[in-house]
Amino acid sequence: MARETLSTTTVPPVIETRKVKKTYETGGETVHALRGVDFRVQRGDFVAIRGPSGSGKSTLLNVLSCIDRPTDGEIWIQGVKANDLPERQLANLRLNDLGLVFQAFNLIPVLSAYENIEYPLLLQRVDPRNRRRRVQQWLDAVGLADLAGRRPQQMSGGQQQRVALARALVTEAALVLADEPTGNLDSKTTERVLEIMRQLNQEQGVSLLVVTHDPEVSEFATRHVDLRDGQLMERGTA
Amino acid sequence: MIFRIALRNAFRNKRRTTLSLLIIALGTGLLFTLGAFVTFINTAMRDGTVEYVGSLQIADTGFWNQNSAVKETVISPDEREELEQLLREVPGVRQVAGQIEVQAQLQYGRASQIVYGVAVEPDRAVFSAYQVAQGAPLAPGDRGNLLVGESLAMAYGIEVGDYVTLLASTIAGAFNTARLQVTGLIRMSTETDEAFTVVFSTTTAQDLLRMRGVNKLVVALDDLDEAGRVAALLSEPIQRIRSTFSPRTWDQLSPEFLQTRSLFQFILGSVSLAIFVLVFFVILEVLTMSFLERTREIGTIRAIGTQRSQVFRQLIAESVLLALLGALGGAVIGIGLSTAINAAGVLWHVPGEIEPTLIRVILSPAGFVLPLCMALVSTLVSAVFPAVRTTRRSVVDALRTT
Repeated sequence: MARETLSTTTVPPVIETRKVKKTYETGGETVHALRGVDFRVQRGDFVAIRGPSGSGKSTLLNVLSCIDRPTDGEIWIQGVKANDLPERQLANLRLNDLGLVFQAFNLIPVLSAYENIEYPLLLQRVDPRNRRRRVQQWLDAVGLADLAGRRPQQMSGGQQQRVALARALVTEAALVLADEPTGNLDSKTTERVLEIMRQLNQEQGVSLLVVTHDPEVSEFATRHVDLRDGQLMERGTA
Repeated sequence: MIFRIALRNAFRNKRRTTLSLLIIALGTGLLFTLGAFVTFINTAMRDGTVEYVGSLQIADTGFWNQNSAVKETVISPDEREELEQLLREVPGVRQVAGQIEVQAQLQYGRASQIVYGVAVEPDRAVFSAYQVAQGAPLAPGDRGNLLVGESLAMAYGIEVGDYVTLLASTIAGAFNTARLQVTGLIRMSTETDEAFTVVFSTTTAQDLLRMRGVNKLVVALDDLDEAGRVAALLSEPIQRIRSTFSPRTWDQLSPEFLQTRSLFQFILGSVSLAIFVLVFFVILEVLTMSFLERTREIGTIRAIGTQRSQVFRQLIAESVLLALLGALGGAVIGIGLSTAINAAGVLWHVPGEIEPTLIRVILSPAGFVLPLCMALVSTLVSAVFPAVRTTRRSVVDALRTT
């Protein structure tokens, strides 16, 4: 399938949604999780999307991450319309353009910290030398060089989330999407993880989109967006 | 990485993996041993058959089909010479001997019995289905002597040195008799053969039947597996000597062997199928559980960009690994079991046979192919359904699984 791209001379947004809707059936009832969301993230943005439980935060993140398809509307990632891409190309898009961080870390338990970070690079077929360099670089960046050989179950929640962050960033993704990245962490570890995210955003220009209901997370973001009843409302920039 | 993950996943739940490996190993090991036992049976039957009929025989089609007058099927001395000359040029031919089959009535004192006479050339031992238990074997150039089956001798009180009379129909159709001296008593593999068989020289048979020449040429080859090829090679040249000459290989001459071999193959096939089904269902259960437990993990690797086909390959790689390790265990079990059977020296008394047979399980690398295929195919087939189901699940659904 040919990729539909934006014909623009300016740099396209990292991600853009146009009137995105998502409805689903649950218990015989139709739920309108997203009601025409228009939204864009530019390169270098650190966006925090807040909203109460059931506001559609996770649904929005799933749609933006291309692991779920919208019922209507368009999703553009790096100038490419993602809606109609077949699963194979969507997987490539997730691999090369997006980095995902989950609330429960979701590391592969049979792989060490090093191997978890290395995994997406293997999918990208990066040569071994380059692979080693990049994994080491991100282990250093998240402060886990000493724990490279440990498996997830041998690490604390904070350490696991830092590995997950490194895994999301090692592919040099245009945008990192994080779903409640500090939801399972204590306050001290939360601060450490958020500090790393801020550094990555400010020093390396990594675009971040974080879905959270934690006000502390929002403080680190440069843009704040509220999601209520399936609709987004920008609250201004920091 | 796919294989690294597969290897580690395979040993994640040690108890479950041990159970899977045990089931595959036991199935493979049993099949390996059973296959080796069937190989022993086939080899023993083949060797027994070859002792009677040689590697292949050449005769007139009328003789094979028993639809021509005997005199028309006799291989004359001139034809025999030509045939032997032809056979000398075929590599791998070890021995050629003329043979005559005789239906005769044996008379001893006031007793008489129909016997099956095998007339051989004592200096060319191709028919070797007997052992001389008492007395002496036939000497080269023998004329007028006879070897009698031990059971036959016992039934009528015949002893070495006694004289018996054979009554037979000559090739011209007249009756003829010959008074022959028993020089030895022979032991054969079955009581039936011993009770009806007498052995004498072709010269004696030619005198009795008033014929020159022989019924057939019995050929011994260095390599029995070459019998089919040699028969095909001879087929046309021997028909230039006489258009009705045709070769028959040892297995064509023994339909019982083919039937028995088919029966054992059927038994082996049935047991293989039963083991296949057992392994299939046990591994299906184990892999379904194993994949199901990792639904969220699989959702994660797909979310970060792993293709569905790559996940599928990873799951299949796990099952291949299980199958290979299980089969390896099966080989060890099979070798152990076979060695134990061989060391135990188990004797098998086959119905109708005089001497018990020592069971020797014959292991060969080729015998491992079927069990290995069974292990691989059953494990792979049982992995396909849960693997397809797991990889088809949507990423969102998979990630929601707890």
